[in-house]
Amino acid sequence: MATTFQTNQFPTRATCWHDEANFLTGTCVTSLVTSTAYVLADYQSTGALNDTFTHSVFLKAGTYTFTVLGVTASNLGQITWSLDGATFITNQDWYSASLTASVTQSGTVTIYRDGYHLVQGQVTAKNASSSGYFAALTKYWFRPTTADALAGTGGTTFQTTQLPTRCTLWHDEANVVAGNALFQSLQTSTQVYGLVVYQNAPAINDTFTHSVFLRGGYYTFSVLGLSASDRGQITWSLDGTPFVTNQDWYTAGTTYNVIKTANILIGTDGYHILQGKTAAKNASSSNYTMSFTKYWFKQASD
Amino acid sequence: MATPDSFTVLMDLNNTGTASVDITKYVINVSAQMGITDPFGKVAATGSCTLTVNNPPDTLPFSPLGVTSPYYSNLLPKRAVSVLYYSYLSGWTVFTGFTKRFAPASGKNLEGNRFGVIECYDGMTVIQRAKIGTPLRFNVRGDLLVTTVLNTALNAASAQDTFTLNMNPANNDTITINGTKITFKTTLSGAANECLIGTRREDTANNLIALVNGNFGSGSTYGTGSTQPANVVASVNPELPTHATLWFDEAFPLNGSLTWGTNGNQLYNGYTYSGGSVGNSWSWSIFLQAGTYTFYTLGSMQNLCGQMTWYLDGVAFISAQDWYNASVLWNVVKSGAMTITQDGYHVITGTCTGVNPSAIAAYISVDKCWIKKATD
Repeated sequence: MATTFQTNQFPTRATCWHDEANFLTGTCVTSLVTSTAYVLADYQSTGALNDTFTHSVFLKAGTYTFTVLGVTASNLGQITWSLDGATFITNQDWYSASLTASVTQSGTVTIYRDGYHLVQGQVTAKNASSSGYFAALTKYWFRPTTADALAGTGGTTFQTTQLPTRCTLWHDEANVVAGNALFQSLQTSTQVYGLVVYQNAPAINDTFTHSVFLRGGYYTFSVLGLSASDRGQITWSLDGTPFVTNQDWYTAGTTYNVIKTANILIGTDGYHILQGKTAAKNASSSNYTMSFTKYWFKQASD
Repeated sequence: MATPDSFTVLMDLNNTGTASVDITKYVINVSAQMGITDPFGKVAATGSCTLTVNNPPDTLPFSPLGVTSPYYSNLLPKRAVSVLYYSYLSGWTVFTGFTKRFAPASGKNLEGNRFGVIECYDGMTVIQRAKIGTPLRFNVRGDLLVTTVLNTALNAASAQDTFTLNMNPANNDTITINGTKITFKTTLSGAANECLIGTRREDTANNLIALVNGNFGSGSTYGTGSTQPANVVASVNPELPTHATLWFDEAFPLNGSLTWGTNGNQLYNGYTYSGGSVGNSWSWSIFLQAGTYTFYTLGSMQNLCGQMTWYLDGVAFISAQDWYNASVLWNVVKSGAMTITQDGYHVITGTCTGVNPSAIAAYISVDKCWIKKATD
């Protein structure tokens, strides 16, 4: 049982992966860009003025550097960033005459209260030379403008309504409970983030776990992986209760960057254990391989 | 001196927050309805009082037209009112409450001006009209939730205490909550007031909460027929996370630069590398539960790489981790043990503290670090 703590203990770091954003219009298109960091840049399918997307973060009050990683190109627009409805970067320009990979742009934002906050990006303009309003981003993150300091004192009493509503889990960081160790497979020319991870050699009942820290509520659980003719079926459980049974990753041919989703109600605030267990395989599959890059929880809106 | 069988009416008409202005001389009638008369009936009966007041034509003190009246700006709702009854030297407060509404009465005085009516209500009505908030709760029975709200509204005794399980209880350990003795058991015997010891202390805590609140689990996580301690609602502080990922391109550079290098041989399509000098240093913060962890680092080993020392809140927990190798090795994961003694916020610092004698520089080429427990 955790001890009572104050909000001065809240985190001061948050990373938002753009492929996990909530897009208010259109859908997320994940583009494999082999020349850029993490092998991907994601953009909104609509590519229109006023395209909007959101993320949520769980941070302590303070002044932060907000950094955006993406690509610049000739058809990209300008993004205005806001936190809890207040603009802090206006018309951040992502136009360049030719594709430039692994570009970062930064700004400063002050967060006035501890806990949960809404980050929003909106395409509000474009460079006169740009041919479109797309925004091709990889991730954006917050870090303090000054060096990470030791925890201070004070703060207000912790409220569970301030808990985060997002969590990203990297498969290469999972704990194997049953079966062989995880193997990191380099896929920098085919799979976003440049890797898939699987237990090698695979077998039925292979099991792994992760822990998550989330507010209770309704969530979408998404899995990014690779489907192929030797893939198995996985059952996902939270705190021992299955919420997806025999999720089938078999396809006759190899397909990279597959995302499968499911809905789940998390009944209580705080710490939970996610488990994936290879439960079966498609009759046509030749093996039980389960190869994933990451999986994440998010709500329908931030 | 008060006369036998007389009333005094006081009202907050000077904006002091207390009923201190005597308006008795204007009051021509008092009609009061008592509130709770039977507290054991546990029914929130409300009380009210209606004052009929005169409106002399010179000031019209209880009329919105009486702009010269000293009361004019204070004829507002929610102003304190007291009505006292006197019999010779003894006096009793027969009504306390607040103004609700000012209105003209149907009758007129001798000058032809309308009487005023001041409607008042008592404190219970204030509570009835208020919205009482409680913290968000899950898995709490409806009746217990209502009890909590009522205790808040009535300012009833509702003590709060905290039990901290520093470790999982042993078989037959006991705890007493509000007079109910509860025994922790590795296996339930079938008796009441037994709490099953879970795999982890967190599981045991949840079983204890189920017993105290009477939640689902009777006969499986706690003994059938267990006593739910009176007026107690149990909850658990959220367990903090046990996993953190630190991306090297997001680190705060304390000394030296950090640069992304694309390379298709490395997972995530490259790595971030430091300035290449001994003394280069950077930091992150983490938010984790206390416990024993393994700290992993994914990077590449090269002949120009240095040695890393990792610090938690300024204390080294991995020293001189060597990233030198004569030839390039991609996707190397190095690890070491790390112990966190307190829940919450902590700072991780990495510093290049030296080089292998064979190394030609002191670069650090890393994708990310992550921290996790051996089991979730």
